[in-house]
Amino acid sequence: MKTEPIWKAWFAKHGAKLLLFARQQARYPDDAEDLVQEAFVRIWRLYGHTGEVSPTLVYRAIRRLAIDWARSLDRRKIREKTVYTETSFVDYFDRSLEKSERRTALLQTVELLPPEQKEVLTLKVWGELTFDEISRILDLSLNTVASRYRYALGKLKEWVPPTLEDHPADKSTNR
Amino acid sequence: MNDFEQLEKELGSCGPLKPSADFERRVEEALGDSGRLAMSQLPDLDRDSPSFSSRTKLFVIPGLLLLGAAASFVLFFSFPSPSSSVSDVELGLPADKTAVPTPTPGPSPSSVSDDSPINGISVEELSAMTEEGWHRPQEKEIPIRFFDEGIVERPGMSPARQYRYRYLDETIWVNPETNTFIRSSVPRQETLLIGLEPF
Repeated sequence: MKTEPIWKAWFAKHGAKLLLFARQQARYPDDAEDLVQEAFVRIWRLYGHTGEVSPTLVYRAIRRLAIDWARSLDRRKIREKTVYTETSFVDYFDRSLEKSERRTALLQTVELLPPEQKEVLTLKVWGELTFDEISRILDLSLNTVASRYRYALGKLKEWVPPTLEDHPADKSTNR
Repeated sequence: MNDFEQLEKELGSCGPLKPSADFERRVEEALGDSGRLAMSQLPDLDRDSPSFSSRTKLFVIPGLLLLGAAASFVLFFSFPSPSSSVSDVELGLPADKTAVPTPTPGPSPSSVSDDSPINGISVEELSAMTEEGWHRPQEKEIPIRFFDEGIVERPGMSPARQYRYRYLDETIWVNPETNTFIRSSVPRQETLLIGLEPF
């Protein structure tokens, strides 16, 4: 009898999005995977048997854990002993995007956005969530979420030159 | 607004990096039993049922004679046995309500406690059938249903979520020389407790 755990299909669909969100939420880049693992395991243990776990629950758990971990003194002490390499937001995406100079520039600009706008943009664009779901994850009003999203897009539009051509940038990508 | 839509499209076309295989392995280990529990058999039941029915057809199609012979074979051995009514109850078949269970003096050769793999046929009776030509029995575990029985409290331990699985253990013996087969189906259930961490 061929069987495969349901969580694997679920994780293949949502894992990358959750990890991207966790990377933004984590104070330290190396915490992102731990955050996703911890949040996912907790939620899956509660609701996994249905096979229809709402990703919103895991996003919310990631956010709460990130806050808890940031407050945790013990973890901070451990972190102080560790040296971290700086990673760019662009590094969290598929390398094939390097082919497009404009898309690279867009992602580099996303990194410059205020964190509260960046998290809304991430959940909306890459998490493919609705404003209602985002407002529940971030404990914000629907209007706040929508306006942060609009501001984020407005800044991207303003900062990224529209003339930047969308062609293979094998000449020189400024990374 | 069109500009925004274009921006959204461009951003959306950048796919975030997929989790590494090593990370997935870690998640699998962390999930433990709950990962295997999430492997609900329900979708696979649908996929399995056609193959099961096709396998059944293999037995049915060669002729009703085969079935008749097998049925009479099993009935012949199961009817005289006093344990047959008990087996019916175990199988969930309608039991004869007028029959009053009477204590049988001494151990019966075909009592329920018998280790016979076939319901209603004792080991002794089976041993009388030791003819040659029987193939190795085919054993199958057929998942029937599972139930989420909610969160249960455990004294001195963290609460747990309780799941109950129901299976049908099926064994088929085939003797091609005599064109005979015997099929035994025994219901079974398992209870699984998944420990929960208060969150």
